[in-house]
Amino acid sequence: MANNKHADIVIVGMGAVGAILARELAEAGFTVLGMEKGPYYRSDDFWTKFDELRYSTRSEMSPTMDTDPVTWRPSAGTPAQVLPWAVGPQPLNPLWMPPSVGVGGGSIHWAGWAWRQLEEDFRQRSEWAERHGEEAFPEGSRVVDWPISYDDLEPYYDRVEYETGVSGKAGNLDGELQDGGNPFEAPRKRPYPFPPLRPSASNQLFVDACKGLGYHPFAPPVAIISEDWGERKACVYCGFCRDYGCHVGAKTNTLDTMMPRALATGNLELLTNCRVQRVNVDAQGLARSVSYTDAKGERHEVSGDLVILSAYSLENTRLMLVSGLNRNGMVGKRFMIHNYNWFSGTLPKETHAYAGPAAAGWAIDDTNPYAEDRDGANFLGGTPLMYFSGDVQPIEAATVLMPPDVPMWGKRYKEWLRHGYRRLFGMYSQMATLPSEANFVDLDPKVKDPWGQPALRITHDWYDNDRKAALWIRQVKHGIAREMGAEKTWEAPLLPPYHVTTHDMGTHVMGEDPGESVVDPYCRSHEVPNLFLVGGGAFPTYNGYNPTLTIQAITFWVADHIKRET
Amino acid sequence: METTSGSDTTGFTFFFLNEADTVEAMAGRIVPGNEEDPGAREAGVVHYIDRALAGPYFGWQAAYREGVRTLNAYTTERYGKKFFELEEEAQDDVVGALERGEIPGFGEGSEAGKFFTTVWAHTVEGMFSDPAYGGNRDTVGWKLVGFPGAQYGYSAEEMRYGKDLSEKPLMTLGNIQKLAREKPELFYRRPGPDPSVPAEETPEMPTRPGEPEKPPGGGGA
Ligand SMILES: Cc1cc2nc3c(=O)[nH]c(=O)nc-3n(C[C@H](O)[C@H](O)[C@H](O)COP(=O)(O)OP(=O)(O)OC[C@H]3O[C@@H](n4cnc5c(N)ncnc54)[C@H](O)[C@@H]3O)c2cc1C
Repeated sequence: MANNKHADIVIVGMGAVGAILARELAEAGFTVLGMEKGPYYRSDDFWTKFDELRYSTRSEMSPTMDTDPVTWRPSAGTPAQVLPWAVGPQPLNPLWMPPSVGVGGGSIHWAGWAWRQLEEDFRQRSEWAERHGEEAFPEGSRVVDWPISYDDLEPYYDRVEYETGVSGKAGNLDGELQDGGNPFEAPRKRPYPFPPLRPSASNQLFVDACKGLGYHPFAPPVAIISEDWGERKACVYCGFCRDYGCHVGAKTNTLDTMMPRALATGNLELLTNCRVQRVNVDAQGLARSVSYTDAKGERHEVSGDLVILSAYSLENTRLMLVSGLNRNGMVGKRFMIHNYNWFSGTLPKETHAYAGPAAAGWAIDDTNPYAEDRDGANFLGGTPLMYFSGDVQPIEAATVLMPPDVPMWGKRYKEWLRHGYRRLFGMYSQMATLPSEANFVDLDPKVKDPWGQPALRITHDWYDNDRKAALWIRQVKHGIAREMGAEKTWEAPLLPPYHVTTHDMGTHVMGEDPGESVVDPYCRSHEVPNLFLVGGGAFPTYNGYNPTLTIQAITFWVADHIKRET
Repeated sequence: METTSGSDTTGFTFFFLNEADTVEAMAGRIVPGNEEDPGAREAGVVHYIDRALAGPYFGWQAAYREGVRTLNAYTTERYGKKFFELEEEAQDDVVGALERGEIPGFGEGSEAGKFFTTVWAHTVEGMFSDPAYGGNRDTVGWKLVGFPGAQYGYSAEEMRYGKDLSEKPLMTLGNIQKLAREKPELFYRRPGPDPSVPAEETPEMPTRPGEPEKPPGGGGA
């Protein structure tokens, strides 16, 4: 059933990416239809978000396997099963669910780490070939240089930071190193718009330990504002941040930063609770419309001169595949994720790990792939290492963060909870997988969603490079924890049981060569010239940084291109 | 028969009495306690689980119903008593066997272990979730671990390493919802038109909302 709505541009997904596109393009005068499968949250929906069970354990704002099944298998030829994305009370399962549903998407309940990539990350192949030789690339890997450079994106990184609100300490202003900042960061034109947040209670122990070991600790960039800004209030350090909406508007999300102005133009029509299920391409090979199901379960179609998919990497890719758009066979290839390398410990005194945002803890970046003096590093890649002692509530501490040598029930369990939760700290890092032929996504031949569309199937496993990287960063953390005077430490398994992470990159990678990539450097589909796919899916390689700032910088870059060319 | 005034709201709406007693006893072994040092029993975890099963966790109803029956069949055969009638030591032996998947009758594979994991997970939830969910009575779970609850925020003074926060008044969801009603100005309201909020509730939108005259802050520089 067609309902005849038409706009210049149809945008599918109003999340961290889509809301930016909607505002930029609506302000430029285009009529826009914003399609979103979730709701439009009111700001007072988050005033009483202080509920671990509701938002973290039960993940109220995340999609569930009932509506959005994803299957996984380690390698082609093995049977796939539905992944337990730990929505619901299955705390022994990995807790890595996809980003939230609703306008604002994952930016509503993200943790807020807002890194730029390093200059070298945009030319991984050349940098690594020069440093380690061509023979260092494992068989089946497909490490490439990006078709865009850091210099291309610098002005757009700046726009994300200043238009949405990021706190931090500059490390490199136009080539000049700044005391107390990240000495490894790429040169930036201006300081961060807000000074760093107050770090967690035990942060100074981490900082001192790192300095003692010759590392360069700094306050990382975080998309949480540290001073009042218009209606938005400075962070109040409630500690219900990662997994939660914000009650004072301090955490940066695209619902608050983009929607008011986008709607004020009168050019944007939002269709919330509408799930897009197909892109319809005409005989000329142009995208004409998208089909969707509304909240009442009725099917409709809306048309646009341009169609943009910004429904998260994995959903963009599933939409391409169910729409039969994969002429060169590249859609779904180069699936890349992070190994979060969780490391926990206890300190002699109270750490108050429930107070303040986790992301406010300091970090070191001496562990990045291009730093010198990385003793014993025998793998491709690297990661910042982040102190993690905030946003830790009791259910998480009593389940997934338990030390493996403490019984999970009985007197000793109780004694541990009494002692350990008060003294908890963590360290966190993100070793990225290499793009390779082995890790990819496609459509599951059997499992379907409730609307009868095939589920996405992930084919992914951890390989030798991942093992070596995880082992190396674990040793670095042990060194720091010892220096901090930790009472006790423990780690997550070297190679984790999860294969989907909320940092799911690739699967519709960008490139100049239409045979080897899905989109061009402006995220335009090689196959359908009026179709864009925007998001982490476009990353041709991955690195250790949280992806969203780069994803959003690319989004502004794409919006500018569309304004120029259309 | 003596009846109370009707203010007792501790009744079960899913569990039958023998099920409630069994689950309560299991929870009491997972986080043991007594009057002075409350555990899962004192926290009312069984009420949390009962409410969850009658509501959002209805999918686990059969697992509980059958799990409790199988467990009590086993203890009756082995000890001549239902699980909750056993001494604590014997209960611990049974829970340990259950965790290891060694109790017969739960079906193939790890079904017994799964039943343990389910009750364990729900016990932890009932111990540490907001009291509004029916467990964590008198916030005994939060007091055990030193969690101040649903706090609006923390000051720099409070966020010091080793600072004793045991005197900080605990907050529940109910408390903060009251605060939100009484002092809405402490919370954020999105400016401008909002498709789901009546216009009169939203603040006036500045000319370029979200964008101040000059860049805020100084980047610490
Ligand atoms: C708990 C958590 C913590 C995180 N922390 C960080 C962090 O600290 N730093 C960082 O950089 N990143 C972080 N992330 C990742 C970050 O949220 C994502 O990178 C980001 O949201 C991706 O943006 P996106 O627009 O591509 O996808 P999303 O933000 O997920 O937006 C996609 C939108 O599309 C909608 N949608 C999906 N399918 C359809 C469909 N078929 N039809 C219509 N609408 C659809 C969704 O409902 C959603 O609103 C975190 C994520 C989570 C879950």
